[in-house]
Amino acid sequence: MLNIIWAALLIAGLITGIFTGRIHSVAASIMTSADEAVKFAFGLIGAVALWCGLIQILEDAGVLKVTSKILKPVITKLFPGTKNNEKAQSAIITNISANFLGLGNGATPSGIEAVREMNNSIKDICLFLVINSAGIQLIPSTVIAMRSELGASDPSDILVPTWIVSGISLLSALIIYSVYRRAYYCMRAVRMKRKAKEGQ
Amino acid sequence: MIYIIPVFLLIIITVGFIKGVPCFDSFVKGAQNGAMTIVRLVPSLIGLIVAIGVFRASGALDIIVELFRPIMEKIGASADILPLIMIRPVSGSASLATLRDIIVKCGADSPAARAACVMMGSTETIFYTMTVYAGSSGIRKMPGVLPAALTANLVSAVAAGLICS
Repeated sequence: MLNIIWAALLIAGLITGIFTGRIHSVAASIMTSADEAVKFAFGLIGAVALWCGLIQILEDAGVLKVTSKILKPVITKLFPGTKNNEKAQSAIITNISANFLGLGNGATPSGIEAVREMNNSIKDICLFLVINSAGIQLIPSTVIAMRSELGASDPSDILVPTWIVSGISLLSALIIYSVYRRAYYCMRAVRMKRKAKEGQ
Repeated sequence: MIYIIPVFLLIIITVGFIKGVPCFDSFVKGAQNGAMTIVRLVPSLIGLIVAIGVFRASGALDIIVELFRPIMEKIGASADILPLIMIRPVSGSASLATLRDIIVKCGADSPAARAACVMMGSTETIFYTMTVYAGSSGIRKMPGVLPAALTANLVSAVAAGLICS
């Protein structure tokens, strides 16, 4: 997908540049962008590495154990299919906590393990993905690092708005998901009935 | 607001210290991971920032943004964050490059840039996540996930626009 988008951006950009007569600024931006990208990435390293280091301390202090104790009853309720599956539950909890703390790398393996363990329940897997889609995060460290690099007066001033909007976005995802599911299974039942009738 | 980060830091170090964690060693280990993550991102960021730079400099991005401005303003979101709404579900590094472009263009403290940052923090690269998880579970059909995720994306764009205006 990104292969197509990337090529399309460049081709469309270059052609538009010729037609709008802005080929000079296009040429200039090719030269400067590559350089800016490297500077930008290196400017992020400080804050991101700092945050990852601090989170590592929390991880080594066993915070995931604490969160799993808190989250366990909730997880059993949300994913009834995992009731007797200790492995699935702990993978889900690790994934949600890792996402929450912004451990991008830590989240994917546990997510894969969680999905594998939930194999028998499509419903659980779907709900897991819907919860994932709201990107619930305690500290969006990369965004804050970017803001401070690009000259924001208070880089962390987006924190509380981000929490609020994450909550709203999770809520809307859950509502749409449950409405859609109900409609989907209703339609399927209707279709099956009709097929059965036609069969008779 | 300015207290949040220092207070977190204090809590983390105190917890680590009380639990007897070799704080500095742990910190270095984690920081190494974090630094490597960014370093590994450099090549894709170069490609993406160049592509977005070309698209922006040619005027193509402005044409699209202006085209959608009336619709975006009707639903209460800033038109400038449109590129992020479009790319966010697809790719994490591309949304990072897009977010940077928006911040550079509008200014870090502008309502549009702040809304884009809030949106970035409250959404997920859902196409990527779905592909990875579908691939590892062998389930092809996931009814309802995509509409829900895309709605969440749009809702967070609107909510971010309202909260940051």
